Amino acid sequence: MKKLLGLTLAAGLMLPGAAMADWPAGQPINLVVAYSAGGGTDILARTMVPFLERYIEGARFVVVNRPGAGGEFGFTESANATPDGYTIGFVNAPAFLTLPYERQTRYTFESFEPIANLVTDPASLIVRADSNIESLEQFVAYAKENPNALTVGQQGYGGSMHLSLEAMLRSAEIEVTQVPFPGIPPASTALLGGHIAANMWGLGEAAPLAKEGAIRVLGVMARDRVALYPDAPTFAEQGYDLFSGSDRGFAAPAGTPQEIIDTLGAAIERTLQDPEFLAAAEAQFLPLNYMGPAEYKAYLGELNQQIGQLWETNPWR
Amino acid sequence: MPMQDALLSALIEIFAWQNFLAMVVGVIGGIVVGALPGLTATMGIAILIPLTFTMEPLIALGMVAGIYNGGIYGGAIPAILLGIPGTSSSIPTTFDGVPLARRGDAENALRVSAYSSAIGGIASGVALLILAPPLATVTLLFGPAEYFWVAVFGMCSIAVLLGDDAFKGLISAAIGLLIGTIGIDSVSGHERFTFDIFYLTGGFDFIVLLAGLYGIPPAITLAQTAASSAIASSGLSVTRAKTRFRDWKSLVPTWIRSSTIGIVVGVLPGVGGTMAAFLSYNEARRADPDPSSFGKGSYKGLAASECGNNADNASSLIPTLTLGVPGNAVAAVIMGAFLVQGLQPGPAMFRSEPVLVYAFILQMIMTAGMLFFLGGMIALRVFAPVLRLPPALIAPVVICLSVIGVYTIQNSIFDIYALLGFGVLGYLLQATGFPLAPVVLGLILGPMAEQQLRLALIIARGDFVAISTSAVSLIIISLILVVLAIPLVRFVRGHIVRNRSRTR
Amino acid sequence: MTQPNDEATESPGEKPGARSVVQDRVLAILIIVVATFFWIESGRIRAAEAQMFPRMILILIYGLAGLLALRTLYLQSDHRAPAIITSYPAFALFVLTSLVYVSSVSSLGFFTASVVYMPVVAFLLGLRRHGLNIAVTFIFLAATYTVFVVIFARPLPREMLWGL
Repeated sequence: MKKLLGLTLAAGLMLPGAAMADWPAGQPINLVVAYSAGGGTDILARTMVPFLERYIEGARFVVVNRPGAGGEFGFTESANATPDGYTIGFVNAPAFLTLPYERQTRYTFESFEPIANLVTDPASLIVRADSNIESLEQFVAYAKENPNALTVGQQGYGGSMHLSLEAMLRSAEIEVTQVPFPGIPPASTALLGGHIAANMWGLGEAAPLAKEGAIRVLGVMARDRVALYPDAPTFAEQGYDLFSGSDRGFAAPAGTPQEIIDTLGAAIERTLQDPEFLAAAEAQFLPLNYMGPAEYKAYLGELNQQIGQLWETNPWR
Repeated sequence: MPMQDALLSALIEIFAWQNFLAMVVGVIGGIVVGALPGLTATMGIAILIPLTFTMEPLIALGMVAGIYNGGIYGGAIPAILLGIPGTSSSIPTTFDGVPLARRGDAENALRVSAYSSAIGGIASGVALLILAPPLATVTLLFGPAEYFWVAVFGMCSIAVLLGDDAFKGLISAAIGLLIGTIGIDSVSGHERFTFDIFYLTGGFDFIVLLAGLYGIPPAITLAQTAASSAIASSGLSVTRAKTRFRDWKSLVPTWIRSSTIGIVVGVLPGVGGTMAAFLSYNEARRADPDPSSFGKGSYKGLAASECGNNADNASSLIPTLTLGVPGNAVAAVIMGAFLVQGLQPGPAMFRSEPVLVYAFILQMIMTAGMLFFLGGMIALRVFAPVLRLPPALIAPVVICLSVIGVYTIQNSIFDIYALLGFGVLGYLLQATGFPLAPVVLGLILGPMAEQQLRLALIIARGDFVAISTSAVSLIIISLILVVLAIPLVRFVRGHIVRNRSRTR
Repeated sequence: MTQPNDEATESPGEKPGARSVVQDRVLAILIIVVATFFWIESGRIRAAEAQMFPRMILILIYGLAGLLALRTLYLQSDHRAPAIITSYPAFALFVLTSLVYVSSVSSLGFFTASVVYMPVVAFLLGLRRHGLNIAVTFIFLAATYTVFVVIFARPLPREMLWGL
């Protein structure tokens, strides 16, 4: 598989199409990040840039932060840019997929040409380490006996953790009180301080605190135990077939030449094998999950459909 | 390793020449970044992080500490010289800094602000070193309900900023509150006051409002000064001070009070240096035998503001370093700097890398101390000469600088139109007697109060009583009552005294 | 943006306070108009819990503006408000050129727009030391280029002239 991609890359370089002729010569490539400087996505982007520049000859990347409106500004910018390969963007699923359902956005899922997925952070249900609730089973039992008594933090309606939480509530047929915190840190202090009962979080954020022994992970919505924190049981192990979380990947505006997409995809794949990058990713608690252009596109398409169905039956807004 | 040994090793480490140089570079860079409107310490550190990937940890962290301390102080320089706060936490610095500069004491004002910043920063660093674990537990006592009351407490301090005309001051505050509601409501996800304008869905970035309200009106005024006086002289220039300020002893109580306030506010995540500066300014004024001297060029007011906002610096890292939970944007970015070095902030870091952690804390103290020497020098040598330029030039320079600074925050063209719009609004408000500080405070505290109250009510399932019964809530509520009661008591007492003297 | 009122800048010589009273009255009306504009827009907020706080603020603004207007009827303000604008030509010139400048930053680029805007505005405001004017413009732009582009690598709008 790797070799095959390498070959396509070599072929792409040897037989340059018209659009490829001088790409990426001269001009810098704008990498649009829909969140502010210093956030998780931004640091990931800035960590990747030197490697991408190493693996694409002559390329120069500039990280452009376009935060605001829950990522909508950034997604709109990368979706509507000229598809010449000089503007690509980070897309954060499911956030960029839910926005077009929730409101009139200036882009749709079809405005993007997915390039590659980098990180998949599975959702995880966590409680404080000294909580009486020691397992998912106990959590569900408690919630069944006392509907809405448990307060569970998430990071905003329509966000990835909200969707994951909804999936869990439907699957377990329970009701809890959802507390939409504006971001991870306030939810974190509220949980550690005992102001709320539980949190729905990406495992990447939960793992460091769990390793400290400050919190307990009741379940992870991944297919297998995650190498980042193998002590955490999956939801599937405990009888709930739930696989959900948030993904961060690259996408270009639709219509970008396929050669450019493939070149970028290959460079991203090589970055994700670079030991130096892997060390950085481990330090940042990033659960890496590479998906190439075709696979990523299919994956996002399916996810988009699921969200569409959920919005039809159970609009959260 | 016992703490003393770790501290000693750390102390030796930070004096290695590369590490020392990194701190100096960081402080200088931070001062420049902080002094330019639109650029913030947060942004400076965020952009530095990917570059630190290959650096030695102590070089990277030394620069981070330098940028942080330098950046918060840097805001004071334009605040004093031009009345344009470089960062929001230096708004109260303008209250007394501008009158001082007007009467020719800019040099003294810059020196007082540099020394006060250094003292606040050092006090905060020492608190981080000694009190981190106990203060970290304080952080956890604050949930949404408690933060709501903190926001209400902050709003009470608006009362002191109202100026001569209480009605207009309150309207200013309400305007700030209203602007704060524009955009997507984070709790429900609904759009508010977007008027179908795409760019308004994100709300206004705080720095855009700040640069507009405070940066543009002085430029408009300068433009008019330039046009009306044929011999273009700004009347702003920094002349050699006639008398050097020497009365440092009189500032000691202010420094102690403001440092304490800054440290306590810093520990509370999400409250921030702006509130620390406002609160310590208010308290300095309240405690002063002559409160009417404040706002007319009081060194104590200046010292309170600058000492308070820098005392927030290191202590705001306490939740980050001890719990792994960043309390504000700067802390989040600094946590990123640790992560890039393969260090996970949290209690384990104190066990696994004690030398590094203590070295960073010492770097926070050291870089704050460097403000003693570098702060005033950079302000006077680099920034003050700008003021010798004719106002016809300063006015467009301020506009260009605000435009590029604001553009780089979110790379948004809309923001620079908003900048100009807020500038004209700010000019008109100021010219018609509406104070600007309440607008900014309303914008900071309004969203905080609303959001936290609604989260608290969700958690308490709509029970209004439950959100005020925790011990911490009760303490803050009694503080609010005390703060509100003091002026009333003073008024009544003054009334009685006056009546007595009249009858005699 | 139009001026709130013309009366406010009438020449001095009237009885003290008159200007401030008229000015406050006009301001109160203006604030009420703007608040009403916001009130109508607040009707489109679909969730009641999201609507509550903005409406509370608006009611507060109505109350305060009303009191401000009422006060002008009963209280003769004893201080005269300073003129809003001291030099109309300079104000108009500066605000309008700045508006043109801001709107050209996106199409021309920051440095291209600034290299024209700065010296021209300084000249129009009465600066006749051309050497100083040009020197400051170039030093300033070189300094911003160093800080924003070289050191911080901030992405800026594409420059029309020198393709930065």
